[in-house]
Amino acid sequence: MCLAIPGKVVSVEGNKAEVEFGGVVKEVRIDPLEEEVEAGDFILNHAGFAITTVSEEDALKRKEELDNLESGVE
Amino acid sequence: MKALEFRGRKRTKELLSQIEREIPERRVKVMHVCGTHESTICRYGLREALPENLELVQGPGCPVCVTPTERVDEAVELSKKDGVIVATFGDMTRVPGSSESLVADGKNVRIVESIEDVVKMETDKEVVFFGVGFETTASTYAPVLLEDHEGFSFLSSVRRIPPAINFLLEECGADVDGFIAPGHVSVITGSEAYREVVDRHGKPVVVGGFEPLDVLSSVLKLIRSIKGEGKLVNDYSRAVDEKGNENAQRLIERAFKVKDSSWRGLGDIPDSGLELKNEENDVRKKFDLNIEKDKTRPEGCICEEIITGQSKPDDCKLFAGGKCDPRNPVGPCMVGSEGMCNVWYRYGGT
Amino acid sequence: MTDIGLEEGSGGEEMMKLLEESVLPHLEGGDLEIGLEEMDDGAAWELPDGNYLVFTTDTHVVKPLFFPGGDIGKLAVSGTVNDLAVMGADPKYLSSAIVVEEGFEREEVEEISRSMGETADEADVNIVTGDLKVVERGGLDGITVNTSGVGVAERLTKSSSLEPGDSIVVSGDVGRHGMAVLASRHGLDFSIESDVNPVNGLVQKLMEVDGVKSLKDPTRGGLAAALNEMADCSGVGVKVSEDKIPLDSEVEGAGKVLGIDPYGLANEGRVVVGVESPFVDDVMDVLRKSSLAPGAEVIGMCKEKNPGKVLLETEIGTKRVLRPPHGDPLPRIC
Repeated sequence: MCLAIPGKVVSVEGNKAEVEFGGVVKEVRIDPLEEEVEAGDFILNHAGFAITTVSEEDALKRKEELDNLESGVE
Repeated sequence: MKALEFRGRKRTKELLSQIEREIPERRVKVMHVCGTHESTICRYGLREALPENLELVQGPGCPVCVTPTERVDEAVELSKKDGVIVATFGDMTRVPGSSESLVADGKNVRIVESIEDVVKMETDKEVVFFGVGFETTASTYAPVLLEDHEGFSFLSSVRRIPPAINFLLEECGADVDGFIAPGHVSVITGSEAYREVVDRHGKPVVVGGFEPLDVLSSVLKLIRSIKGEGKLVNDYSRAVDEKGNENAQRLIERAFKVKDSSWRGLGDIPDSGLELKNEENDVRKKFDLNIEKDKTRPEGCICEEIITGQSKPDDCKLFAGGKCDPRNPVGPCMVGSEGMCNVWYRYGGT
Repeated sequence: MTDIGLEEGSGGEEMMKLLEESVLPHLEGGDLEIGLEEMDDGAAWELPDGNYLVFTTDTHVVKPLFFPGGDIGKLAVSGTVNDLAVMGADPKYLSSAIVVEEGFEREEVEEISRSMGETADEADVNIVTGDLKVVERGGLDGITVNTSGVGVAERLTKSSSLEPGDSIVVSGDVGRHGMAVLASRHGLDFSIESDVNPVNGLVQKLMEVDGVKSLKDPTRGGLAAALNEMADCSGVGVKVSEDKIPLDSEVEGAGKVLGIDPYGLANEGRVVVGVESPFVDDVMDVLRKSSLAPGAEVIGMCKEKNPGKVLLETEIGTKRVLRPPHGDPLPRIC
């Protein structure tokens, strides 16, 4: 059960957040997270709980890495 | 979330060529341990696109599949008690027990998507949550288990992945060249959790994400590791770091204690299970359950060989002969949505 | 022998097995142009004037009864009208048989009937006969509606007529109805509406295009079931491209959240067209002019290789087999 879907935080209240997944908004508990989140952050949702944040910066880094993987440059 | 999708055609073609160029000539056997990885592989036809001498197998990465019959029997027994509702994730309701499975009638057995749904249930009855999963899901159970909830108990079928990988190498002599570690379990545990696999057994581990390009990248990096480069590689650094999610780890540690656990197909694995620390919620303390350990194996079912990566679904006569399918599953690999047989049935195997 | 399971009502492989093993062997199908053996959307027989009388039936069990974009009434009329239309018929008359559970709200019966009337008007058909029964509380879940319908066709379309080289077109984005009903059932915040609509007017125009050979309404089992039926009945391979298959981003998003593949979900206002390739542009012209065909696309082609199979070229350029859907992730969708 590794399925975890990325979503965008819409609002936060206590240990819960409203998170948007491609047009659908769901309530997600944020207790497992290590850091505070706010509207605009991205999280990975697993079974109704956020297990980590992911940033656009990380996504871009990954894209760059994949683009350069071929030549063995990391 | 387009930025988090890694699915380019050109990149795919290039990575595939790169893998083709770099893979050793001999047979290379790689194991992943996650049903979601298997879904990506099948959904995008990756096995067929990868070199023929690369054997990509799935290990015991389906929490539903590795739940032993006794646990299912306990859940079934509970569901028959007056004043009890058993709630669990969808595919647990079709896993065969020794004589029957949990039937989701919406009354005594309810399907939920999250343990949080159970907490929100409005009922006078005692709700037993049949919790399956690995470390990822344990991190969702822990916060709720640490809260005070009346009329709530937990039947645990939660396990840990790194001990299982070690066990496969030590006891089963799994002849794999390397592992792709499950990305989201690793979010919680951190990549260092696989250090023992690397140091003690000398097998490379690449922590992998779930986009198709993630999988291809992890395969390429694993091939490079097999050929001698760095042995423990984090290929999912946008979500995973070395130490993992320490907050989640603390929550798990407070709610659970590590115990030996029985895995369907593998038997008893030391320190591989998580049981409740707080006995108040433990269903075994609230109810008297007397279930015999079931040693029988359904005839013709080779789930155990599939879970340990020794066989594939089409090696199974029942699968190949159309005698085992999601409607009439013989073994758990066909029931769990993350079971290899189930994924192959849905996606045609490649 | 096992008891009937929900999966056997899903329209997929299990249902076919149940019908083939336990139902059909006992029925005398009659000697019709299109009869029971064809397992098509309906039956058809030749009239003295050379036209065909087409006849179909459907029982509707959708839950919830009222969902975004429609209700069981609209569904009951649209479903039967569309089945007739895709066989090549001009739908004319419907029957409506309702079974209601004791305790069901009268206002809802009225609402559903109003819906049926409005949809029938839209489709230019009449409901000419019917039946109503009430069963005791617990004997049924709320209400179930059966509609049967007749229409007249000058020529019949057949799933079995496709040949290598023919093109496959879909009239709009897929998976909407199934996803709307499912999301509504799970209480998800969802602005997607079912695509349920009578499309006989659109189908009529498509039939006027030379070269249109086969039409299917991808209801239960969705696009995957429809494509597999076409491949199987015609004995051709069907190859489609994932990036050509129109899919609304919200439907896609909801699919990820619910863990369900939209290709296997029901559509109640869409048509899949098999057409000789020289006439594809004419088909696309008709579709583009219709408000009932949002985002129509040419999604693939019939091939000689892999007869009976549907091959999907994924968005990353690799290939996989698109199987007919199995099981029932979604009971009570139509």
